[in-house]
Amino acid sequence: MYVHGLGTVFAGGRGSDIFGQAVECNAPPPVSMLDVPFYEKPFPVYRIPDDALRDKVLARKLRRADRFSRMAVLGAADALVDAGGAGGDGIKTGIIIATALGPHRTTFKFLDDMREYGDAQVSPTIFSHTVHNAAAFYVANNLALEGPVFTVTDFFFSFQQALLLGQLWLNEGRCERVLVGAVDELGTIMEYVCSRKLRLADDGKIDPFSFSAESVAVPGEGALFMLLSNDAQGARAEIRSIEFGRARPPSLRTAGYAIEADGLIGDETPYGKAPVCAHIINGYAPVFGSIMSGSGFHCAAAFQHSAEAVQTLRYDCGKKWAMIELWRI
Amino acid sequence: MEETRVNLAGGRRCAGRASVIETCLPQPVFEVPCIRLASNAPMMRTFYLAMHAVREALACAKLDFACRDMRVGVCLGTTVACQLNDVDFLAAFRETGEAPMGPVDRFLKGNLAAAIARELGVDGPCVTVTNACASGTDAIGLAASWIKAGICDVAIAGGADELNRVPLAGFNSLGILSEELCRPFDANRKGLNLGEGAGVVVLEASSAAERRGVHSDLFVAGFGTACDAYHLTTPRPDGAFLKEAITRALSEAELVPADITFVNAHGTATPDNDRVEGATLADVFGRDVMMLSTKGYTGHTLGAAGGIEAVFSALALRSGWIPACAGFCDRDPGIPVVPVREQTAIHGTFALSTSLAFGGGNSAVLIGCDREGN
Repeated sequence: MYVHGLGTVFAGGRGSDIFGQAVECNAPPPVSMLDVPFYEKPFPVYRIPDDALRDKVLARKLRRADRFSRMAVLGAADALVDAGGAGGDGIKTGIIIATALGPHRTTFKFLDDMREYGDAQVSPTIFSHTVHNAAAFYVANNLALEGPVFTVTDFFFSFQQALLLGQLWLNEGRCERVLVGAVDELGTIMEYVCSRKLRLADDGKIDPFSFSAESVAVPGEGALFMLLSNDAQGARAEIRSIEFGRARPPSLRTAGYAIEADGLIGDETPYGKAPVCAHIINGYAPVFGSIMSGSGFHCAAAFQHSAEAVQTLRYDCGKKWAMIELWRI
Repeated sequence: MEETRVNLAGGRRCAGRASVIETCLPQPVFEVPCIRLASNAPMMRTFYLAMHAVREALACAKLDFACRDMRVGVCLGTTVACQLNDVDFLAAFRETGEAPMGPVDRFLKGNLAAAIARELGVDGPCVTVTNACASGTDAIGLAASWIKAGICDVAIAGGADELNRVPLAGFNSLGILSEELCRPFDANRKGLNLGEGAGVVVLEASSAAERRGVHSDLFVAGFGTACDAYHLTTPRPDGAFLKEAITRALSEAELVPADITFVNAHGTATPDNDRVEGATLADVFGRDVMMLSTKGYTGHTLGAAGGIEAVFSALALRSGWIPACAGFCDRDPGIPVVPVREQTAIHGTFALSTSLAFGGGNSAVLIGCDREGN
């Protein structure tokens, strides 16, 4: 399966070029501080600047879309453009969105309405945007894509599962190409949850190489899409395998690998125990933050940054791991 | 399963005002009797519903993972269980700036497929499908792809959803909840009733089944899905993408419309859904297609619906009859097909189950039953 285009919006801005530069420089995005009066102390998050979510071309069709869907549409649109197309070109294109938490800001807005107005007086528009797959609808609708559309969730490996599904669809002929994306957003309540459930970096810096049992996170948000097909022509990278395991450590076959240590699982000692036969080890979480579906970002960063082949490695809290093997073309 | 069969045969429709949630909304809902659940813990109800169905499905498949070296995947659909939609949690946060972490902990433990995989101790591919009302059907289609590709030997697939205030208030706001028991495809249908439940199938590669010396008469013959992206909550009027999903499923199974014994339609009893779906079924299968909706027995169980209806379809093929389309009475002149009005004997091998969803999703899964052991 080949990667033809990348599109992203993250705390550092929008576009694969900006993302690539940030990865190259290992530049952390601007830190936002959650500043709510009843918090004892503010904590850092990597939030997408509002400007990055404005788009003149798509503005009209996105006027009803919530923030989560906007992020998805912009990331997906950019991946198509990056691959040299703009959608609606008659090529059957599938869409798979991977998310851990879905459009929770909209869900909380709907719950606020229920509290304020009662169950009988809530907004149908807000309700219709609470479903996880609303974002995929906006992607298909705005980009005029006709093909299968799925949204999948998992707290750690949603992107890997989405890639696996994309590969199956291509192999089964359900579509000729597929947009696989990872999308997760921040919001006041989820940031509060992060402050209670995670050990946060007071200085706004993630250290992927701490291999600490008490690693720290900086919550991030964003959308990262890849346009994939089984056609090697014009491709920028090849995804050769997506593997999962638990008991045995992953086998490393490439000259480089990227660890997805980002503070989300707390105990990151397993990353330090991975067999280090590779020449180059990288960790890209400082560039975009701690994102539950963040494997898409790690994967994109790894292939943009590496000279040849790279494997990304992510652990969950139960020591289960997932690995994506990429070869640059 | 046996109780379900008896209830379907008896035309039993157990609906009433919601009791498992506190709401001012009076519309009838279909609840699973609490006594059958291991717990009524909020946010975990979907898990318990799913687990009940999983255990029964595993028992039917004579599967016990304790001593077997099998790659077992879990692929389940849901809508409610993938949201942190606890009103009390939110209220506490809004009023005090603090909120108890219990609901968050349950949410973080409750990703449906991951929670079931953890409970069973299985380590294969694992993902929760959140394609709104098509989630259950799509989960079965995805799991079938895993099996075909050799990614796992066994896949537990289907859907589960609990009754919850969010969809109840949401569907009410859309004006599509019926004040009375729903009437799929009826001329006087006034909308849907919400329900809850779980429907799960165990898919197994034939090679794996042979290794352990078992044979199943039931199988997934094909799956198709297509997104029309016409409107977030309304199906595309011409049904073109539902037709594409059905055509894809037939093609994958190498079948033609005449091979299909009956269709278990999505049939929510909303004016739009039933009109579009009825016209599309007539287009593909002809006006005389044998069809029904089982939502008159269950309500619309959202992410569970596709799983439950696939199970009902399999059960019907194996039993040789389909129940009456509960709630249907008067033919709608705007719908070219007529669902069965009474329990009807069937003789055939294949059934189609369809799902339409928010977001423009259209999905179809073909279930086969080989009663002669071929």
